[in-house]
Amino acid sequence: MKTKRAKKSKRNSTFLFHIMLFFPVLLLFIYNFLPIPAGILMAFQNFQPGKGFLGSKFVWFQNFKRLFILPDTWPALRNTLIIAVEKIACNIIIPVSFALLLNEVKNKIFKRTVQTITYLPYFLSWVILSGILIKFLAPGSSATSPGLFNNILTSLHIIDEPVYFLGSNSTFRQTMVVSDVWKNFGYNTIVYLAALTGVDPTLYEAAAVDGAGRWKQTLHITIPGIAPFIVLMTVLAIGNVLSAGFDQIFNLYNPVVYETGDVIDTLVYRLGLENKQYSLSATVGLLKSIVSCILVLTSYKLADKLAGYRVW
Amino acid sequence: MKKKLLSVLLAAAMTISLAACGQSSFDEKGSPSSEGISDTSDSSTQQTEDQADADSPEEINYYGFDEPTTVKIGISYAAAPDFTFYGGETVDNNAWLDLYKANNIITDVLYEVDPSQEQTKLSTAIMSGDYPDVFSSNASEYRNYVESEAVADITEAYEKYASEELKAYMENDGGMALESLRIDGKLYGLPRVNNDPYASAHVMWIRKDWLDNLGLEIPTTMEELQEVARAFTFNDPDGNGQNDTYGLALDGINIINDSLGNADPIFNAFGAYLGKNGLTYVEDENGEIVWGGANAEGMKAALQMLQDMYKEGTIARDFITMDYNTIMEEEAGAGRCGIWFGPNWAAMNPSATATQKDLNCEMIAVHVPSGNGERAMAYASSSAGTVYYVSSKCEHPEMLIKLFNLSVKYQNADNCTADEYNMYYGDSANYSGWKTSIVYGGGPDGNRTNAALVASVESGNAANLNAKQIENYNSIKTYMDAVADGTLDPADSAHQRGLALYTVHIGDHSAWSVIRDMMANDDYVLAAYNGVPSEEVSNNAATLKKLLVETIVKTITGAQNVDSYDSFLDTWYAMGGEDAIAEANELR
Repeated sequence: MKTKRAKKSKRNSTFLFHIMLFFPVLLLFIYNFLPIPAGILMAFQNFQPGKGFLGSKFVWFQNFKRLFILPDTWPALRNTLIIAVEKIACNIIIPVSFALLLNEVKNKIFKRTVQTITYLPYFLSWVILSGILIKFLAPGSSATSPGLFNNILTSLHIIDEPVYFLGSNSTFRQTMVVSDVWKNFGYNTIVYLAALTGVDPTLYEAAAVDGAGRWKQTLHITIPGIAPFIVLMTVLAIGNVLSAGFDQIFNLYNPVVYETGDVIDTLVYRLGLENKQYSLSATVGLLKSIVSCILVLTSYKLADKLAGYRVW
Repeated sequence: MKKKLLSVLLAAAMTISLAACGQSSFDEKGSPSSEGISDTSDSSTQQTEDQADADSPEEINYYGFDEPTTVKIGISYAAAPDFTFYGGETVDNNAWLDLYKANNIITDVLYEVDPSQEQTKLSTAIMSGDYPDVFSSNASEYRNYVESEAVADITEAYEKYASEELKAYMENDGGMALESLRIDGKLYGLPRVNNDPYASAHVMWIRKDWLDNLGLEIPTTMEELQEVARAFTFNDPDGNGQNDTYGLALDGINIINDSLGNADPIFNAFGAYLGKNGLTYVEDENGEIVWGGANAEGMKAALQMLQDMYKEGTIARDFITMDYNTIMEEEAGAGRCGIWFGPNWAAMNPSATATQKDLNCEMIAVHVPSGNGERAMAYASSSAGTVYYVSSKCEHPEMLIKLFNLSVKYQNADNCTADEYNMYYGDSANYSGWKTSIVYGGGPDGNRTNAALVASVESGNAANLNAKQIENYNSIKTYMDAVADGTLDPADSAHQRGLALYTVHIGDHSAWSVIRDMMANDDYVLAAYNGVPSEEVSNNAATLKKLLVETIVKTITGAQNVDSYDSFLDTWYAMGGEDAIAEANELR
């Protein structure tokens, strides 16, 4: 009787959760799953909005052929991979290190303040941030003095001449990576800080009794403790490896850095929305999805093997 | 800030609609101002004729049907952020609907959407099979719509039902936009002729007060321009003792942007023409159509000049991260740069902003300096902008023609009485105006507006002006009176608007004075081909444009050699440029 009631109350509480989950899942289904067949169909057609899916002519692999002779495809793919891999790596290493350091801080007010300040840029959109960054990183000209960042660097004698971070192919990608990390590491840090609170404190006590110092504790308790989270975040990030951050790059790139800055998403935007080549841009999208899918499956397998992490 | 931007955009849009125009009669008679003035005095006789036409029963009803006939439409204007109903009008009750009803045209609203969703809604409606009878799209989608067979062939309907006013309207650009829509002689849509190629020519804007401070003349050649730019950069033209100015402002994000910071006029001065999309068709000495950027010598000379200017600092080092908005608000608006190229409205906002910082600020329009010893020309294309269609499912394809007839009649101050014009177009205080009409055929009358304004300002007599012109006239008058009294208040929005309109219309150095001068001297290279591009060509257009702007900007910054333009040309042709030019030669 008692167990039955317990079961029932458990079912009741999960029922509420399911209701909560229903609408997000519905949205996900409508916006992320429903368009998949349409997108796949479009990639093999010469899609005309007026004729629709049924009336448009099937051209099978013509779009793919065109894609591969398009001179923009390979540079875009290369730039996407480079920028995305660098971003993923930095977006793990830096927040984890920062979370570990913050975790050692005992002054609560200081800790909270730092956390809040680093979290703030996360809430700004790239449209706003790009305007700030362009001014902040400006190299200066005959009419204007260099931006704040160049001023700091030159007055510290780190560089002799102001650097045009957003206008040079040698610095553009790094600028994208660093600014992306700067925007997001506050948020990621919070995820890892949450994970850190989950580490059993008795382990630290035991380690302290055994004579382990701070460093040893971090190495043997903290890091293994949050490893599943690191792996999970990586797996999730790898699924997005081919999205190198459209809104960031679109708002910051310019013709001089197309060579190193043009990514798949900006290419899709130019083809699909500016040029109305729906089928071709659907093809690029499809290709991106296939590659992303393979990457996710691979990283999932790796996660299972390396960290014993699995969803099912 | 947002509000300010919006008002600027509105002001710009207004002026474009003022200026995007073209009085065809000007071409024939060659004297715009006299034509424009006489227009107003002639109009009374014309109006009585028109009314007589409409009143007398005729064989063909140009404006409506004998039996009530339904037209299915989609509405997007009502949800537009910049739209407000006036005079108690609503979606279901406004002057235009009454006019339609009086002509036995009954509207059936299929859907109401936000303007940003309009095209998506339309294509989903077309896919579902139940879509509006009359709708519009950008001309670049014209061939797609024709191919999709969702739109009707209106060749015969146009021949039979087009009113004289509509035919005259289509002649505003010499009939080029209309002809560009013919496919194998057949017509599937009607263009909105507001893309006047003459009025949209770009001029050079320069700070007159800076020239005066430094004792310099207005540059007439590109060498002089470089000199002036140098002086503007290094000789402290604003006299504030600070090194905070430079010469030429360029839009590095989109160097051929058809807006402030456009570099195309500079290439024009050297005999090369890139237009607004980078795909232009000019005639060579053999009568063949070639690409406007194919003049490698001209392009290289222009690029060399820009590269030199960039090197010496008379172009901002960080111009590549500036777009036209930055130039409008920060560079020209804050009085940082002294020279920029742009359309006739390009000083409206900057003059209003810069005057707040410096009351002596004076921005004037001058003819683009010569690069190669000859007068700089402007490329003028008349390809259609917006195209109106009638559904292939509609039983009355003449519906579109009749709606267009109505629009041209009542949205053009020449074709109707002042009261009618005000009701359907002009009087924005009591009527919601042209946006509630299904088809917009409003007047390409920028030239006429300008001529009338100039005449009225000179004579001080505004009696002949129509409602739209009077508003402009009053603004300008407010500003000019304030200047005369010494009571100019740059923070007063009425003075700002007057000043902005003044830079467009009035004085020896207004944008229109330059454009009229250009028209009188025939400083135009007319597009040799105005066709709507085929699917293949428009497919390649984005790639070609990206390559072009990348090459230009990289050359200016010195990342590429000027001579690399030759190899760029090879790539441009190989990547689809060759097909585009071949198509133009074939279809012209």
